[in-house]
Amino acid sequence: MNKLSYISLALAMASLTSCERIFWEENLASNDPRENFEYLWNQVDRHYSYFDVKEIDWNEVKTRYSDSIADGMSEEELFRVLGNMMNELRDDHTNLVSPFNISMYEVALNYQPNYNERTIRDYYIPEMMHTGSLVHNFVGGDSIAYVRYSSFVSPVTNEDMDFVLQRYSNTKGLILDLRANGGGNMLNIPLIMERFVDERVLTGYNETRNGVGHDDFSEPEGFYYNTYDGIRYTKPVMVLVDRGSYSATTFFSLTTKALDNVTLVGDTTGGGGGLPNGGQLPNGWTYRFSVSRLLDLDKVNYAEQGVPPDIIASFDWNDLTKDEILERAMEELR
Amino acid sequence: MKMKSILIAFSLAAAVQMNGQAKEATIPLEVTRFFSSSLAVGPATFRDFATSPLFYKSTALSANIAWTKMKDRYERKWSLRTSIASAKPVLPELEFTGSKTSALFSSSDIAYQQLRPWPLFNKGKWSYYLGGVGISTLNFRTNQALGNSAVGIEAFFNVMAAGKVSYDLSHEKTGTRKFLWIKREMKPTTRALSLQFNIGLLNANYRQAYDYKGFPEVNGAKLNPFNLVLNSSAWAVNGTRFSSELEFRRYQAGGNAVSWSYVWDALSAPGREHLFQMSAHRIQLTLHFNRKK
Repeated sequence: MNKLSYISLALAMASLTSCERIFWEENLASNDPRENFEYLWNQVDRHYSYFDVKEIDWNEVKTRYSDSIADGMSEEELFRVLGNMMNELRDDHTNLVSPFNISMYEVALNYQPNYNERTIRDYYIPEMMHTGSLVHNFVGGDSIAYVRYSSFVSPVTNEDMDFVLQRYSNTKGLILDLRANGGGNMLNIPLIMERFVDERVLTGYNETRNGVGHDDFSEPEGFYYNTYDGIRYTKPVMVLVDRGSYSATTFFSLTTKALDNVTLVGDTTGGGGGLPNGGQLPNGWTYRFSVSRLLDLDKVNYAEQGVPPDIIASFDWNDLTKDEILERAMEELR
Repeated sequence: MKMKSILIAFSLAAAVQMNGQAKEATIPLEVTRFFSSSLAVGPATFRDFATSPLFYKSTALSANIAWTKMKDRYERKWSLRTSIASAKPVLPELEFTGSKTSALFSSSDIAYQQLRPWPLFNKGKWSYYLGGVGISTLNFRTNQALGNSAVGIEAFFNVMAAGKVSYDLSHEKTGTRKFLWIKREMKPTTRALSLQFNIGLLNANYRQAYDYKGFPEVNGAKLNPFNLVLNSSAWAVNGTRFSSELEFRRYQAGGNAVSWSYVWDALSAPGREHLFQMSAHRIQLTLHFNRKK
């Protein structure tokens, strides 16, 4: 045996020992409509968190939609079936994402909107200040502060909060307008809320699906606000909400129930108390849906259907010169 | 461009080392310490069933440093490696493909290995070694298309049995060798070809459990982002890991060495709920610096 033979033998041995296919499962990429349908249905079945609250019979949904799956159906047809099946969850944290479309439920479209920016700008605060993502000024004189935060996607910094709260430190109360705020980054919630509390406070719980049974959940984990070590505002705060206040805003709203100095005014929030997980189908489309539940201090699970306000008020679209929800909050603070 | 320049510089350094022989080199049998530095490139694949049934494939760049102590062919080695890649999913044929989601995939490990000669089977130029490897690997992955599951962090801990066979390809005399029409002047050189194979005996992993929550989520206002991910992770003792390395090493007169190797590493970790698999194939160039006392 010469050296070349030895080298060939070593190369052959190396290639033999480098084949991961020996212990890996097959490639599961597939454009087969039924495989994708089954995969998505199973993922939702094993992980979705609100079957009981919404009284959804997921097996019945499968039977109904399975009939619409056919070999050779187009991707657009498959998308429509899968997207409609996901919308049976009646949850805005549920989406199916393909290269050509995104399915969404849009819970706010089932209700009247309660926010009109032009009414506030034309009849209450013509000139706004913009500090980071916070839009603000005095309203109805110099004793009440109005702060608009339109999306939890926009970052809130401590410097922004310092400026705003310092500016309105001599007011009687503050109105935080979260109407039509569709949510975003949960990490922004404590950055605002810890300015309104004097001591560390438990405000709610979160539990996560952790088993194949539809009612298998982890132990509830407490959601706490710490006290900010700096400028705080502990006078009355009115938080304006409506059905467009979704996800992180619903989370924010639920936690106000634990704070004596914070009051919810307006309409019930849109819901979206579950934290969504993302995933991918065998054909490469992606999806997301809720895998956890938000509970109040009594560990009651209602937030997915919306957090009710402490003071009910609604916007009258027949009179655009007046914002009844803002007026109601100002009345409380006078 | 920067990476290309580094690879070229590294290759030049290796070429200088290989041609810089002034006198006969030997495979060290006394106590020898090496500091080794490597660059490698090759295909890497992973699949995380927690978020996708699809393979994500990439070409990964790796860098590796190692400290080796050899005494009478008894070998102890510490090594650190890190690699980075941008991976794309392997999709089926589709009517509308759009732009593929891509995942940033980084993997780092720290390993310790001990090999002892196995003289019972040593014959002629063949040498055999047996030993063990302890390796810990940490992955960090991001895939924005997966929304709140965008971040994946997982760790693997493996105790592996190791076997190595080495063939001494040295030649001691000066001469001429002809291959086809190419004539080559042969100088005395010290070289070795070796193949090492490792198999996992104890395999543990710390990775996503039933749920899969990423950075944008929060449980109980815990603002440390690593907590957000690791809170939903769990330990499991299961899975498999295999790795191998085919190495051609050439020693220099000063005791330094250069090696080219083909490295394969593959693991499968079922975890608590969802299977995770990954593999890497690397062509690796290593400079071994003899740390004289």
